[in-house]
Amino acid sequence: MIFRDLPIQQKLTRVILITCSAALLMMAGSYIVFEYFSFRKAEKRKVSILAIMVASNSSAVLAFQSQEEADEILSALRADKKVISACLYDSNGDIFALYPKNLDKKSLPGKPDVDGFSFKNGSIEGFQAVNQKELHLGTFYIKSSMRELYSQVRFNIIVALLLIAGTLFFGYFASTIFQRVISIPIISLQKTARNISEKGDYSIRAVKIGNDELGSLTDAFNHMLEQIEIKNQEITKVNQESSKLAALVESSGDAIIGISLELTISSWNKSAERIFGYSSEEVMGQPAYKIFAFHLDDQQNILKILRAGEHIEPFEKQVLTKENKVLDLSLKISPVKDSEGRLIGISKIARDITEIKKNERLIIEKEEHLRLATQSAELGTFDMDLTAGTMMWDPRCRELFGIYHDGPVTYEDSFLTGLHDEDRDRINKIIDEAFDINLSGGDYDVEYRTVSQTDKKLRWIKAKGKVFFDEADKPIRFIGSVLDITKQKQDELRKNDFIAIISHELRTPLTTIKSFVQIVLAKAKKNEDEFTIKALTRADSQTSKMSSMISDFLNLTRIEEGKFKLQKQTVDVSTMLKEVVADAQMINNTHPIKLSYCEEAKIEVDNDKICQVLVNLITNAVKYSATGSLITVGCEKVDQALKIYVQDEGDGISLKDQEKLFNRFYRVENEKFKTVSGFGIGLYLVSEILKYHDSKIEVNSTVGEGSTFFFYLEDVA
Amino acid sequence: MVIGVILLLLSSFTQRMPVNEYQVKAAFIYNFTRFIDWPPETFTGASGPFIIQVLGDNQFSSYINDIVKGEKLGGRAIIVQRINSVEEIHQCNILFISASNASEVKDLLPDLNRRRILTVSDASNFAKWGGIIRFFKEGNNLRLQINIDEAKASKLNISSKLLSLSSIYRGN
Repeated sequence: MIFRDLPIQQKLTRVILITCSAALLMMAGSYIVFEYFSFRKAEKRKVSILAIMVASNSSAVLAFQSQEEADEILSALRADKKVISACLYDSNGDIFALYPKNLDKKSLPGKPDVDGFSFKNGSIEGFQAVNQKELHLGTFYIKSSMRELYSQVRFNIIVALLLIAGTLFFGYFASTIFQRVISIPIISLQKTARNISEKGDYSIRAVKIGNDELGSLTDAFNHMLEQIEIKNQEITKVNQESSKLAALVESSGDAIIGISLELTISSWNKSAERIFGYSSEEVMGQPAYKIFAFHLDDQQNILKILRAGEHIEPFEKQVLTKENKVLDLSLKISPVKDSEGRLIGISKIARDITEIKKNERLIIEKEEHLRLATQSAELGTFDMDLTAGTMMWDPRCRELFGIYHDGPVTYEDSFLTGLHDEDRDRINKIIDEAFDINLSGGDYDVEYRTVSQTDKKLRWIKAKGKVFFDEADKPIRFIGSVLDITKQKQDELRKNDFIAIISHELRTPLTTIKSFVQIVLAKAKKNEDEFTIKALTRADSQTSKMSSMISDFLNLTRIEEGKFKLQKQTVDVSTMLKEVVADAQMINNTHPIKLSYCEEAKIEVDNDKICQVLVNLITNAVKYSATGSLITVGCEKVDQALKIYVQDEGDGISLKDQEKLFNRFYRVENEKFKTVSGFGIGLYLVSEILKYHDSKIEVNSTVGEGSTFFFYLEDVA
Repeated sequence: MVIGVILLLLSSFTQRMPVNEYQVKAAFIYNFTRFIDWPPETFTGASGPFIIQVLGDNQFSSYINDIVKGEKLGGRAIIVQRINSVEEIHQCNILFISASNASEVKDLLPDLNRRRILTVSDASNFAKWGGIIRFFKEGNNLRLQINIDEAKASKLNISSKLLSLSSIYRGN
């Protein structure tokens, strides 16, 4: 690993050790060199002193040629172990004496040389002249070993190396301890930095150790972190905002398109892809006029307007899609500005209003049709906005209420006030029901009288309408038409009067006939005249039927004229049903009529009217089911209410017929039932009578399996 | 340069090295000038010559002459005088007396010593008689005998190096 990649701890340790080693090496090296040279110098001096002394002592022996004495002087050199060899030359340059005595003369210089000493091959050697009072007597030669010096130098080198090794050893431990003073703050800083980068948590702070440069660095680092954290928070916020914005743009149902100042497309969201049919890749960087079919001039114009800081009102435009489909677009063009308010682009929000436009055109057409239709049919129209609480009446509608101004009309002041006193509560109630989707399904179909507030003129009106509901089934709009039916109504009233008179007039003789038939029948039973009994029984049941039919007519006319009145009393249901079933069985002997189990209950009703309801239902069942099939009448408690029903095993009623079953004069159109007699007023009366009792006739029927007619009444027991 | 010249001189000197006994004795006598100090009063003036007198033996004096020729001692010229009789002895520094003439000077020796004259002879009883240095042979080597008392009496300062080589004679 190269030095600069080492961890800082190791670097510091190494730097300390290298510095120590260098210092020690220089010190030891210079010491050894100094030692070496000073030792050499000292050795040279020592040898030269020795040579001078020996030479001095040798003068006499050379002068007087005393071999013995010469040998003795030289042998004294053995005291110095370093001396390798020595000799005395006489004045002729011949060797006079030598040391050691057995030395081979050849190892010595053949001739003496000038005075002086030099180092040669690990030893020091040289000559010293022997003089006595200026008289040259000979020369002394000596050779001394330098081995000791060199071994001393070697020893010193080894000691120095050991010293260095020891110093490095302790230096290593010392530096590993002391380097922490520097490395720990740096490492802690580094750890903090790594921690931050790994966790991405900029709230972490480095711990400051000491007030040196590292302390300042830590402070600076922490300060930097603070700034990063602040910036980070800002960036996070901005990112969140922009991702929210991006999500909004992406999820928008409108096409949101960014256009650069060069008028090329710079952003294109999903809805833009969907609406225009071009993918993002196809249009990015393309000139905008290609897509929007604008002339370049228009674009430049738009840019000019936006640069001037002016506003462009939303506008509608037709463009072609990739598939050459014409689209109606609502366009909103806004400037895109940077934080300093400079224009950096244009944003276009395009909404596909093709369908709306189509509907608008359709509505205009329909309204025109309607206008023509209403004009020709003399229909008046009304339109109530239930959320805004406003009501629109056309002139015809106003006319039918005797209003001849163009001012605002209201439900209370114009409509309810305009109704005939006898109709007001009923109509108000029906409208309330129409506003309840569960009760009416929003259908409205009534007839009422209006009394003109200006000239008190009475009109009969047929109104038909529809209530519209929102997703929460809350009524929001109520529209419909009104038709003047005064003339028909007057005709009808005359007809009703006629029927009423006829019925009334027929009723008295019929009652007389019935009473006489019953007297004669009683008499025949006494005489046991079988034929007469049969004939009279038949006559009796037919008169009962006729009487019931007349009752229906009378009730019908009363309802039509609004003169229908209830005379309520508390009735025992069980008793009432028994009587009805017994009477019905007597009249209709073609079908078995059975009273199923009946709860003990009491109801508060107009007894005759409810009996009429049951008779009509039974008569109906008898008419529309095969001879001999069972008809069941019964009642049961459902929660607090009492359910009363009439069940047959007939052919059942189709769903289509079920809708209109209770309309006046409605008769099921079926080949099978062509022979069935009737006016189609039985079930209408049932329905009307029950309405007066705050109840409602309902039917459960499956074709081929029979029908069950039922209604609920409150149990007052 | 100086050393070179000396070497040259030495080499020329070497070729004339004495080979016979007289030549050796002559060299020794010359060498005495380096190991013995004579008081200044023994010279005639500051630059008076160093005088070696040789009594008898003509040959020997010529050997000495050969050796000292041109040599100087402390700026003094060395003069070798051959004398034939005791009467000719005058103030000198070294007096060599050949063995044949030794008996002649026997009585004069104390006086000579007092006159600071180094008396040298190869006569066998020379030291005993009161002479200062006697040559004698030991094997092949020529050796010196020094009468230490007479030497002291003569007040000549003999180097210890010389003494250490010599055989010391003590009277009494």
